[in-house]
Amino acid sequence: MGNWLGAPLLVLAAILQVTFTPQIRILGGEPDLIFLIVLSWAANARLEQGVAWAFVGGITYDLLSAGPTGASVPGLVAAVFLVDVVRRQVFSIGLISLLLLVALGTLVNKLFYIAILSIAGFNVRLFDLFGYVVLPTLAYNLVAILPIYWFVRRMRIRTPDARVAG
Amino acid sequence: MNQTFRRGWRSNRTVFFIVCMLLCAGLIAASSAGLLTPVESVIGTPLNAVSGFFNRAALVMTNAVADLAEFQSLQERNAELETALARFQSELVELREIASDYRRLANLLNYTTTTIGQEFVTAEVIAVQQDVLRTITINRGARDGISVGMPVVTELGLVGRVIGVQANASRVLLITDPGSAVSARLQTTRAEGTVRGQISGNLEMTFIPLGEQVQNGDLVITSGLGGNLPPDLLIGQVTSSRAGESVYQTAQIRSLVNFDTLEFVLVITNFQPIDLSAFDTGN
Repeated sequence: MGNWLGAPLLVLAAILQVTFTPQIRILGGEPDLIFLIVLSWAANARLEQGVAWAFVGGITYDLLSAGPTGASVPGLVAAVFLVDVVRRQVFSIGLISLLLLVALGTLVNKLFYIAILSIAGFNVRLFDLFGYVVLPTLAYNLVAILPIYWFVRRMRIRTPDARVAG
Repeated sequence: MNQTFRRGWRSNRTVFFIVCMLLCAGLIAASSAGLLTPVESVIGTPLNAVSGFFNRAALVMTNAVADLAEFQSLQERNAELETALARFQSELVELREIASDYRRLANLLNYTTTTIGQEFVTAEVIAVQQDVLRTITINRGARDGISVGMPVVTELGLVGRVIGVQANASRVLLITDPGSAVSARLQTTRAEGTVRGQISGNLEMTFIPLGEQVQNGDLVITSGLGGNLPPDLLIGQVTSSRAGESVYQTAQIRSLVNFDTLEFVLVITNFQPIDLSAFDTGN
């Protein structure tokens, strides 16, 4: 059920990612809506659901951007597994661990994306992009996670299988 | 039993992770090889239509916010513009006189100008990517005669080059992308160089021979060298220059195009890039 709820939300996020968020960017960084939604869902649902959201969100974004289809997915999947590792270590994800996950997840997600674009033949410069894109995106994500996490968690609680997943 | 098997391999997180990554690799490889193009076109069509609508809304909102921010300085700007208008009107009279002189002299010298007829397709910008890559998506594709390599311009100058085409949409790599390199020349001295995008979104002209004079305000145009773009498309204006460590100098270029608020662009459809790889000797 949760997976089906995610599709329209992720499509909307992907569209906003290529229309609204570029208008509010600082340097080359902008809030990474899809990453934040996927991470928030992964923190509140089963691993398989998080992975499914990562695939849907990543592919939708890739269809609207210049990279090859699937280029965004490995970074998102890696972030979901990162959340899973942390979830198994702690009783529940609190604010500090959430912010740490966002920070680490942003780095993992962006580095995967840059590496894949580089392999796909795009001319990307990691060190330049790190300061100009990755760090401002990280700052944005740390702020934007709070409302997005709250919204996704509310949505998750209302899904029928929420209690089962725990 | 089947369900048990499914739960089994999913519960082994390492295996699950590897399976996911292999799936991703397959997807990326298939997309890069063009095998997914029909599927991408079918799914991309409604997505692009919706994103076009959202992009228009985003631009309206951005402009409205910008207008609001500028409201306080509008009166001051109005006074400045009135002064400038008066100055330009007097300059216009002078320029008309010069144009009249030019026509007469050109007639005397039997001077003829030849212009290369260019065919354009107007396209609307429906999506923007300005992070790791700097690209825009436009609402014209293969059905409108667009193909990879075609130059994209506005009335203010060069915007970029088409790098990917779907049935009804195309991706354009902006000249501000760090991966973009355009053969260029200074209009005044004809000195040649390469205009590259910077990570900051600015443009830099490199490989200008040290002996060449570079002045602020010089116009930079495409040279046509390399066969990737037609010559004489406006790229921008020199804002500063400095000597490099080698035998070349570097100039900062400001494009007149505002890449943040692009709404409509023109694709030059009768230009076909020349593939020079046929001349490679393989050495």
